[in-house]
Amino acid sequence: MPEIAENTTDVQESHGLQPQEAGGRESHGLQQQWASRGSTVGSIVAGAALAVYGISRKSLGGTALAAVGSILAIRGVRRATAPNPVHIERSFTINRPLEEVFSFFRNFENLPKFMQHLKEVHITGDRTSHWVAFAPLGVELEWDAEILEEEQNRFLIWQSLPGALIPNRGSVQFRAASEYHGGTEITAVLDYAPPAGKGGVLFARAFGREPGMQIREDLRHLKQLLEAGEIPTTHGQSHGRRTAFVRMMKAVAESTKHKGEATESGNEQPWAVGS
Amino acid sequence: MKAVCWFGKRDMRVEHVPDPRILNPRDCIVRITRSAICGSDLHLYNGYIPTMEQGDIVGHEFMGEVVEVGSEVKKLTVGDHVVVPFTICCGRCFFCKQGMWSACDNTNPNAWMVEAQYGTSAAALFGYSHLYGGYAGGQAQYARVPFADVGPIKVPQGIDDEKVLFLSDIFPTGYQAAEQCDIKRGQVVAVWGCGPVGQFAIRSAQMLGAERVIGIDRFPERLQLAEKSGAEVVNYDQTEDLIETLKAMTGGRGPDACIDAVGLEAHGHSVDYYLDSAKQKVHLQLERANVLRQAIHACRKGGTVSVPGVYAGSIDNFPFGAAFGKGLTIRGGQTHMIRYMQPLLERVQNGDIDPSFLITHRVALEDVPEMYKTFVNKDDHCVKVVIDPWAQKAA
Repeated sequence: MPEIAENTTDVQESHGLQPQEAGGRESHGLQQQWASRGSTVGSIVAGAALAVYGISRKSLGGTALAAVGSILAIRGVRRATAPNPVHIERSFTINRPLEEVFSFFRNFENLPKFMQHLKEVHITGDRTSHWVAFAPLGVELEWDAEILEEEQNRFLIWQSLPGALIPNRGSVQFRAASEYHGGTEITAVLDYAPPAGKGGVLFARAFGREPGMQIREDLRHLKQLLEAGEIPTTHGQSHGRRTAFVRMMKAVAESTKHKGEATESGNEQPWAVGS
Repeated sequence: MKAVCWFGKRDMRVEHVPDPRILNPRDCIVRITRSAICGSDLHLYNGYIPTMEQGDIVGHEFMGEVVEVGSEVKKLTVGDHVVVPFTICCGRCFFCKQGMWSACDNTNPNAWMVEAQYGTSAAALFGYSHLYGGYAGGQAQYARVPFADVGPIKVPQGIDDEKVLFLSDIFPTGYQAAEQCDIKRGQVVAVWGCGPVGQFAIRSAQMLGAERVIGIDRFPERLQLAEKSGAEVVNYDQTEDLIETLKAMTGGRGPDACIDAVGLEAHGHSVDYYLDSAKQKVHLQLERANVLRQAIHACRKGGTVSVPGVYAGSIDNFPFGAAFGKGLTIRGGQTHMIRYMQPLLERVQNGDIDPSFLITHRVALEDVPEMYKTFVNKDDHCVKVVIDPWAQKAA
């Protein structure tokens, strides 16, 4: 069983997960990105300068300039820095037989049934598959993956192929639980290495503000789906008037929401998983 | 439909809200015929339970008629008259299969919230904050009931709703509390709190073979109800030293089992009551635990302290030394409803008990916000409020 990196900062190097820029150009580190993306540096410098100038004007026009400058600077910073790599390790016991759990997971076309960020997965070959994730504004993230290693009813390791905008890798171990507990123990390790630039922004939009949490909850959904037959939800349930603040937050969430989450405008639960 | 919604501390309002819909294939929709206010709803009312959201529909004791079923519902059909348990259980996880229904793994969509506090999440509840799943509750005209084949029990025709409504929470809760005492013939059980759960705990302790049951409270109507059930009563407002009184009543030993049917909003005159109250006011502690401490102090060596009363946080000054030194068993937890509903329904049908003896107020939905106030203050000899969501408001 190949070693899986514990240290999130090693993830990118040790498993060949190199963040890549949109368009498929390979990057060789953050410095080169800075050099080759002059507009990013320009945004930050010019934006900051404009913001300072605008504030110093102490007028309405100055405020407007400051706002524009700030936005430019922030966008520049966001483009320049990659979101943190995501590393999830989680164990669950699923009260279903080992063979059933393994074969359900092994058929990657089942993954969208419990992984909220995935729209669909197509098996394209013996070991290859094509994945499509949701992102807002109609943009879709797609990549190909291949199974690196597997042993039936024991473990499964897959990785996105080179060219993936957001390199990712997953590894799941399966064990029969004791007779008392029944079912299957699974340990899943999932890694995502979002790049700087557009890919990173799309990653953040697809996975939400806390991507690690979203992915962890997806694993919980697997247990719920296999045991209870459905994923519990309160999305769309009845409730009284929400506060103006909550309604505003919901409106913001709606605008960044992707198609993977069932929403009912006016009935969104801000506490529910995935929002 | 109309529903009672939480809007803040001491602010319940009746609102017009959308009718519930089937959201998952194992859901059903129930047209509610009777509902009730629970003592634990008062913790929501008084603002003690975190993660409440303005507009949340409250209420978890309800029953009614099935009006719609999801595509995967096999046992219930439209028209069935059912009582709905307040816990939501999937029926297929390890815990449900072992009969530990209230520990269900799979019904709380907000399980991650609970994991930070408790390690793992237990079953979701109706109408009891987002920590417990955020499900809309049953102080309303309709409710969406998830996992409809697992929880609700069918009620035969001809039985009055008021006789079976309390199978939704308080009767099984009092019964589990008594059962957890492991009562042997000849034993003495003391019950702190003669509210609805305490009343059922008293009756259940008798059903389970206790020779004597002692009810402790300060409200005359509650003590009277306990006496009518055959309990001996102690009014702690008129007792100099409750622990000594209990010892005197039990040959110096203390009760063999002690039931805390009060929970986190305990009242009293002891030093720790005042300390806990002070801590609550500055948010250093969520709860007042003076009853729990008393129960531990009073309990006979090797006895059991059984806790149906709701606790949610971490109390200070827990007398673990006393509990350890006397070799006590402390048990508690949310009720494993599905274990008890059918057997207790049979007891009602046999005439062993008529649970409606508790009801002091029967109101319409519009009266409910005012009734929360009445209930919390124990005004008007209030013991239990039952709601007819389709009745007109009293003139």
